[in-house]
Amino acid sequence: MSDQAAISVHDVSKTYRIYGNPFGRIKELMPWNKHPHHQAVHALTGVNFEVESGQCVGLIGGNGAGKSTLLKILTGTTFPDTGGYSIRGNVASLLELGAGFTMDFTGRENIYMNGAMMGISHREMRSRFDEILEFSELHEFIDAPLRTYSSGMICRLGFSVAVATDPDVLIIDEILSVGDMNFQRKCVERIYDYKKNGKTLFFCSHSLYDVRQICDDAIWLDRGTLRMQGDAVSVTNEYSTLQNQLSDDDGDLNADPDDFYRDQPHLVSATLIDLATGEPRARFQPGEGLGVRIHLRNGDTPKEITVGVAVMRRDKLILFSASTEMDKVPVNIDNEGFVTLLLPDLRILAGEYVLMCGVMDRHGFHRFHQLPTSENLIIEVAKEKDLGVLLHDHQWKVESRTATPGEAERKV
Amino acid sequence: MTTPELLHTYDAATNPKGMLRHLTPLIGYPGVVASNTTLIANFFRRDLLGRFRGSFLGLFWVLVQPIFLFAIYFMVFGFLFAPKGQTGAASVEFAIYLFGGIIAFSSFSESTTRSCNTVLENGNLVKKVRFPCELLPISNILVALIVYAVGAVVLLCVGLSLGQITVGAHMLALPLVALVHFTMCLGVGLLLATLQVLVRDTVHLYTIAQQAWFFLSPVFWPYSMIQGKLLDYGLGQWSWLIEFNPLYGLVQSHRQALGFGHDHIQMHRYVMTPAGEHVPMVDGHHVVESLPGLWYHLGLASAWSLLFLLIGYSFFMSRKNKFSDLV
Repeated sequence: MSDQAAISVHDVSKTYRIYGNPFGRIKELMPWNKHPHHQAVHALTGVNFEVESGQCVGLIGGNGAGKSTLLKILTGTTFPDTGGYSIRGNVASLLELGAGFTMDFTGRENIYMNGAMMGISHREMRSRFDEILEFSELHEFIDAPLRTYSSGMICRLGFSVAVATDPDVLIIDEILSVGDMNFQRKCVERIYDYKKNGKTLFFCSHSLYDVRQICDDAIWLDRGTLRMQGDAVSVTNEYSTLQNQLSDDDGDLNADPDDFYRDQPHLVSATLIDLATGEPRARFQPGEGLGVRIHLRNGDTPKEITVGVAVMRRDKLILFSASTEMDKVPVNIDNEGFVTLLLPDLRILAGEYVLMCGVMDRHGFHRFHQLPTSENLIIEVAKEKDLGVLLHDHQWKVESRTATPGEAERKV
Repeated sequence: MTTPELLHTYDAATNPKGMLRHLTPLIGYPGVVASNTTLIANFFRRDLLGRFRGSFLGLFWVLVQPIFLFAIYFMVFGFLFAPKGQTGAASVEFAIYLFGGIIAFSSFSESTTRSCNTVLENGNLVKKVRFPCELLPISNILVALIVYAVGAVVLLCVGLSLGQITVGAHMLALPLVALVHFTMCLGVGLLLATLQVLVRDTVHLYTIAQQAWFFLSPVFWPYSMIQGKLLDYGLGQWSWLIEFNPLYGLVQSHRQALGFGHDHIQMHRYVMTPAGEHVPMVDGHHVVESLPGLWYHLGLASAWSLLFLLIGYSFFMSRKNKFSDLV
């Protein structure tokens, strides 16, 4: 165990016993009992991992993979059967919307109550109160009972209190999805700040996009065992590949821009063009120049945005993606404008591809709108013998072990 | 940046098992209570307000309930079932005796019954938030103590105005009695809360057991009456069993600290001879027996309350880690 690890989990296993009826429990206590009267559910088996301080780790996995159990163990509300864990610093966790809140209390009272549960005195909470109120934006509702709040408002209050306690380790279980877009963006900005200060974040989400954007690392739990740990992108890729193999459902590929998007940055159209002529064109040969011309509007209140394009095979395998945020290209569009992605030398082999374009906030986290190009990209056969999807730069080197070493290099 | 110290660790291999291992943290329990006063105050407020939420009179019911209860006892036992030949102040005596016992007993029974479900009712907290859940029964006990205090004030007002209650140094013992009462409720409450998580039938069984406990405790009857009954059946040597009831000392010390002594109500049909034998009382006999005082009863109650706290606390703490899986 490294001394610097913020979270260290070793050999954690947890089994739940499900009893068919209450007598099963009593029967098992009897010394003459021979066979078990329960059904064992192995929520976690032999999970080991470490999280360094200042890292943001995403926890992914299907339903029943043990994610919630692991988060509960780290929170300290349930305990493993074998193994153990250690966490450096104080922990704040948001396991459920409104957990730890009393519905009859006002928002203000709940802030103090929540602080008290985390062992923070009334006086200390009072000094942080303005910060919490400011962040939650619940000024006019703060003295109303919590049962009059919407779920989004409860989420805002919960998140605001949790981050205001300035924990060294913050554990969040899939609750950010409740808040509205503005608040989600605020949370994400707060999380970025939080990461910058060297604090640790442990984050569980079903949105691979969120995990990829917020987290450095990811942990993939599969039916109670640790399937993979590594950088967020490769783990989510592995995970989504498996998911796509399992089920090929239609996502929101064909979302249309409707009235809902009018005040948000949104895409009007995305067209494939010939780089040489500037004319629309959908059929290309490998090696030709392709442009993806995106027409977008920046909504009523222009802001800095990120534009991204992903080239996908029909089975949603992403061959290539680019975003202005990753390439550090600022996109400042006043009201309406065009952004064009230039691919001067197409390196994709024959087939039909979907190009998905998206407009996101400046961190590339929150996606305002996405749209596929008006036509799918069709790459026509270049050479009959090409196999695969990519035309990669490559060289050959042949070494022979005879007396006169024959070396041949041929550039393709 | 400095590395924060290791604050949260757990290892299944080194985690103590068994009830006795969980006894030692009892020393730290008052400390846990003291450092979480804000939390307890919040729970207390929630429980108190929650009980009267939505009602028109709200907290006023805390006041109304004991007054009406007392008025009923006053009418029923002061007039309807007044002892033969007694009228006026003397007949009220029994009503006051009864009421003093009832407020003490019902405060105990209410707080312990509510404690049964306290972990289950706060299941969402226990599952999702890390906090010292051994504090959960406390708020119920405090609410019941408030109800008790209102009843005690009513009793004192009526008792003093009718001359049935004497003001004296014994009233200084009231806070001490309340502390012993609190400890007893907490011990039993922790025990029942844990049992209820493991076996959901506990609360139903306990409600029935309480009915029996009510009549086994000196609420309705004075000591001399039961002793007389036992002597009738020739079971005089078993009269110590009356005092073996954990609530005996507690109810008696409540009454004595309120200034309504043990000696007020005496239904003696036997008197003790100088040789220590009980003989049937005939006209002209004087009761020479002096009954034990407040300190005797309080000592008895303290011993029981500490025993219950030891058992309840260690049982609760030894099962605490399992709560979130069982609720």
